[in-house]
Amino acid sequence: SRSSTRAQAPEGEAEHTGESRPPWPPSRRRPPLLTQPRPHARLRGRRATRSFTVSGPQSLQSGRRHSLPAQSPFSEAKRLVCEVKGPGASCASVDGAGSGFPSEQDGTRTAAGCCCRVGARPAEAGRRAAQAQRAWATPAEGASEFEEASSLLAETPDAATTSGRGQLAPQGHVAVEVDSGGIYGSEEAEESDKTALLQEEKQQPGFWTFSYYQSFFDVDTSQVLDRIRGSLLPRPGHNFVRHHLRNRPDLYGPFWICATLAFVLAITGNLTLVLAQRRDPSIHYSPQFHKVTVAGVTIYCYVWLVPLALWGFLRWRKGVRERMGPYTFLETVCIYGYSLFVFIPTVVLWLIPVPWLQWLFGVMALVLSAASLVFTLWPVVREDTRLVAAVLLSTVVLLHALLAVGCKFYFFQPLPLEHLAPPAQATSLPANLLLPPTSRPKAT
Amino acid sequence: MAKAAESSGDPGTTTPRPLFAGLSDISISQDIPVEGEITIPMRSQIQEFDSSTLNESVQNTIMRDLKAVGKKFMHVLYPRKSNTLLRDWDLWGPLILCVTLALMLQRSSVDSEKDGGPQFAEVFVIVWFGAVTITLNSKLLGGNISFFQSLCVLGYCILPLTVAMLVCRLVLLAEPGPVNFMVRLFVVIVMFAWSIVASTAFLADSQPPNRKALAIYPVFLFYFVISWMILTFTPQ
Repeated sequence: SRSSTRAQAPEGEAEHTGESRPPWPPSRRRPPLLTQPRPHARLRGRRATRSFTVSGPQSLQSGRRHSLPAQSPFSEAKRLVCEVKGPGASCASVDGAGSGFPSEQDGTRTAAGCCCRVGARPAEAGRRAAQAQRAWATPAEGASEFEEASSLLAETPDAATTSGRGQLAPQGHVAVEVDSGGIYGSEEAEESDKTALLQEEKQQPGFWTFSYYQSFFDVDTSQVLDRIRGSLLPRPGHNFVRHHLRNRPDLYGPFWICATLAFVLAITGNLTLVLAQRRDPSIHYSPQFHKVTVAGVTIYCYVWLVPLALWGFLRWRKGVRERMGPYTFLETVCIYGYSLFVFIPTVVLWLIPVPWLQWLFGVMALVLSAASLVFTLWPVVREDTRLVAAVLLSTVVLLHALLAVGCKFYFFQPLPLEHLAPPAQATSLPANLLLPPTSRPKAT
Repeated sequence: MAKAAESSGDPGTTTPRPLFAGLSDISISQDIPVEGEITIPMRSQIQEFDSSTLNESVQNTIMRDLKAVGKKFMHVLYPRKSNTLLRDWDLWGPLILCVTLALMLQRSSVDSEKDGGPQFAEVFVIVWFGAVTITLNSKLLGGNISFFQSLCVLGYCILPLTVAMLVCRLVLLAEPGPVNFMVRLFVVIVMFAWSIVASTAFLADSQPPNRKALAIYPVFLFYFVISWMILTFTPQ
């Protein structure tokens, strides 16, 4: 019985999609744009169809099968193609291109089924998906009402459309999370809250309004401190953007970390000159105020232009990637901004006039900072070709090293250079006088 | 008043308010003349105020503004929780302080261009653009202070640092040496702390409670940079 609910437009939803649904399985074309993903609302009053199953026996675990009723739609073998949405959403064991059933991680055990992430805009996809998934992830008593679940399978491929992210991945079969139907009937208020929340988040003010920029400063003190801590201690599996930014990039951190670093660079550079003059009175001390300007311009250009190039490059290579979309521009700026934080204490420690200690601190800071960059970028580039990934990561590390070394040389000039400068000017003059007399014998 | 009389004269109702209890024995059969002027004292005072400032002498005008500025200086020097700086903000005080500071901090023209201290314009730009940036930051974080109120507070709280600059200039007239430097360092540190305390007392209340540190840190950075400029000043 191939009565596909996908072919029938659910009531009330036709106006959202605005076009007729393709028959099951959905074609490879791009699904229509969804403005209000409300998977639960759609499941009201749906009747069953038996025509959907999850793909492949490998994705069904034996334990799950027991919970399925005999006439569950999953008894038929049908390939289900859903779309993976929402970079931030993580449905239990499903990640990336995953198929398969959610496992029992985090206590979010669901009934049989796959996990489909719902998301509209990249920036909010994670949040929304997390909310959607939270609503679904209640422990399954027993897979009693699979009618709703199967219609969820029908609905979510359309619901799971994003605006900017992408095409339906041709090979992508995703899990669609099926949960016990009990939750749909009972939690109406909660669902309406969620839909209201999703609707609110959808409204983004235009870029000419003040509240648009206020959305970039929507962080608390504890969040900023947590992000700084996350950038100071990079761990291989611990993606900075997912775990700390959680798709809410802010501009406060990058801006003020850069400002602090610029001023600290200029001030400590000046301080080294003061300390050097104490030891050697022949050095001429001056406040060197122009270094503040140089420091500020350098740091701000680095934190804004390099992420711009990186973001552009990653978007250009987007087509090669299946699993994870590129980061937004603001997230890239955040990554770079927070990764510069480790240089602030390093620069202060560079006051110690022991050269090998300065180099040691510099190398340590560079390693920490570059590691946090690489670990964050690795999930995005690993699906690319090896060559591109290697070149990209090495370029990132190289630019970072260049910044560190350049700052060290410009602001913390080693002592002998400063000391030799006046004598060099003194000796250059006699050298000019010497040269014509020596050339004369040669001429004659 | 007439309305109150009517409501209280109604025999059926019991007036809950004892305020008009005395009016209950007014009979409503007579005509109560309802005449007179409703005067709002504030408005008349302001009207007098406005009309008379045109005729006053210049000295009065200047002295009034100077007194307002001086009063705010006192509020900064003895920071208490008061609203004077916020309610009657003005930018005269910050301008006077900034110009004084910039004049004292600028390097002399015979100095080399590359390596010297800040020029007048550089100090001016740092102070004003720094204050604007901090104000924007606190507004973006969700603070409910107005733009110019915040500029006013930040500008007035430079007063301790200007005093420190004067003291440093006097100390530098003595012979240079480590004692000289220590005295200057001590004075600048004390005045820096005073500035921070004063501005925090005025600004902290306007921020949401979980973001106070985020809004105060740029103020700290701002006064730190100004203190650094004062400390490294060397007369050529």
